[in-house]
Amino acid sequence: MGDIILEIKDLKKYFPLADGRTVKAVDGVSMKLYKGETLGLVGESGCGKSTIAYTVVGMYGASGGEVLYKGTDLAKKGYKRTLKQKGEIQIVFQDPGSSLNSRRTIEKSMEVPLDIHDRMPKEKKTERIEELLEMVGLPKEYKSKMPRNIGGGERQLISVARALATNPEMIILDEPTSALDVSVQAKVINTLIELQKKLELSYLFITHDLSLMRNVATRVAILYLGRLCELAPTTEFFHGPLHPYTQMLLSSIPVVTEEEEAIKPGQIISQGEIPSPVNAPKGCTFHTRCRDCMEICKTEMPVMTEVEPEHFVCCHKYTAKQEKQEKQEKQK
Amino acid sequence: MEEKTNVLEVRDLSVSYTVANVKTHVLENVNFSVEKGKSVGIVGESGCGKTTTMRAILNVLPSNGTVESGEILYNGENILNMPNNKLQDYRQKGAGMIFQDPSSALNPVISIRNQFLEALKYAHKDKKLTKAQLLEKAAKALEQVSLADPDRILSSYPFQLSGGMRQRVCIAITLAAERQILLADEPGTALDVTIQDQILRLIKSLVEAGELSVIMVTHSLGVIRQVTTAVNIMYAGTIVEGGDTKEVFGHPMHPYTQALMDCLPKLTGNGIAKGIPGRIPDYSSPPGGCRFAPRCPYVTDRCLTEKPVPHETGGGHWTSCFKAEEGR
Repeated sequence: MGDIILEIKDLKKYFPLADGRTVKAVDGVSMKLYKGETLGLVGESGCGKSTIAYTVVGMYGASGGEVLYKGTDLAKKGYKRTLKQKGEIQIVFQDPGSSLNSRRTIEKSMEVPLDIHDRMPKEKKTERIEELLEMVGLPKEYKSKMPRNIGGGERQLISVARALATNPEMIILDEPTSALDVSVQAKVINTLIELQKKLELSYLFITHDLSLMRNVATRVAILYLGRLCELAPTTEFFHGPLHPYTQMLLSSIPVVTEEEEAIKPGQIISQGEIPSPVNAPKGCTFHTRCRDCMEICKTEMPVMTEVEPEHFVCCHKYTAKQEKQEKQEKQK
Repeated sequence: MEEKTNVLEVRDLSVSYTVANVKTHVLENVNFSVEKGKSVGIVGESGCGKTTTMRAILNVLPSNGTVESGEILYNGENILNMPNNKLQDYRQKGAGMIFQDPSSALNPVISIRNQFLEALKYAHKDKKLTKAQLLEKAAKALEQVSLADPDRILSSYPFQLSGGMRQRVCIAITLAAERQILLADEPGTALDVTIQDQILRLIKSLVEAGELSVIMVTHSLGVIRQVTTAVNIMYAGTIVEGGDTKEVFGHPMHPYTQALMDCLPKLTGNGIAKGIPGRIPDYSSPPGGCRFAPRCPYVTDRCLTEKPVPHETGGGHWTSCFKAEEGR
């Protein structure tokens, strides 16, 4: 593995409610993002995917933990990010219809990061915008169009081009294609993959679509109620999912071919509903829906364990096994 | 041959909308039918006319929409020229619709009990049932959709239920009203995958138990494959391919279906295809020939001028494409 570009350590983000309770949107998440890789962050709605993204990019302050970007803790209380750091970490949002100003031409929208990050004369700016449009595979005439006059996929490509304006090192992609049709999604994804190779970008790719992750991500992390369940390299993850939640998630995906059906972990029927993050269950947060629930799960929170190299899972089933093994080794 | 009974049959349906004095020809010669106790799917991308088809089936097109030609037969009667009182009957007892977003389909300030009563009052108006009997039907329907504790659900308001529970309530209303057809418009799209899976399993089991006939429209090929027995692939207001679900997914024949299947990211991880170039045509002046011709990699001169007609390729599988017809 290469250099670590971003390391999140025990990140917490709590939101206070009016009635004095708190929503623990992100509750102790740790992970690393290596240079040039795509880390897929997958989870259902309300599990804290976007909260992690917004905290890393600096839209939210963290309630606890560290966000180490190239060794500097961005989440430290009172720390002010430099302009360079802001430029190096960029974000692309889900809905290009609302992330682009509908009353501005594409050129006007794309000028904003250029004006803030590197001021340049008007002609050079136009040149740079045309260059950025070319990078995402759009004709330069698009700069004088309004967002409403172009398709949804093209609009998303404009958002990507705008994120590229500041020469970022890492881009957070927050569900970049979930508002698009599959035929359009394919083009956007292919452009993103090409750009990553060319510019050595690191992606933190947030989505709820596991089939998409299979084809895009280097490693996949599964989030449930603000905590990580499983983190593993993509191939391993899809061929040997360990956490009961991951297995349930994988078997819930509607697929289109027989070959895919074969990959899904057997007949695991999805049951129960996601509890509210305001009063998350005690112990393992998944125990209310887990088919392998044991007594210990109801009271004690499991910890992230490395079961195989680079394959982490947060479940008592595996920690117990590991402890047993260690004991056996000691006895020997 | 065994007699098939079609609960609903859509024949040569063409629908147009008038927007700012410009006529847009959205649906063109749409044909499909639903057998009793079966489920039929319509798949297509956004803007291909899925919802327009559903609206036409309930005869609730927006005021600027007109049916140019065709008929929709419900138990042999054309609903498009039914007198109003019969049409009401059809909507109360014949077909019920569930929507993508169950929270906007239920009235937020009326309790679930009263929403049930409102629907059931009309659906069972001939039988002169008492309120208690209607509520009994409601409770039974709630049990059928696996909602435990019907009393609590009935006395709740929609905001007290989760998204998945609300969708179950919508399905239960259709069941309790003893409607024959459930029109499902993207029923799982707004829900999480694990919850969507539960709802889809529920719909499938109700169809298999012979309770309902289902027409489901969605953009997700995977959902259709999981639930329905027959499928229609829709592109730009025309149905380009149809047939038995397994057969169509196993051997897609229309270039559009093939391209769509390629674009889908797969769990097997073979990478992602390039996508389909271009976009859906402008409905105010749709292509004269095949509507997919401008984007089709196999296009010939014939495709540009002549409209393809359904061509059967065996096993009840058909496609409207000259490529399949000419055996290229």
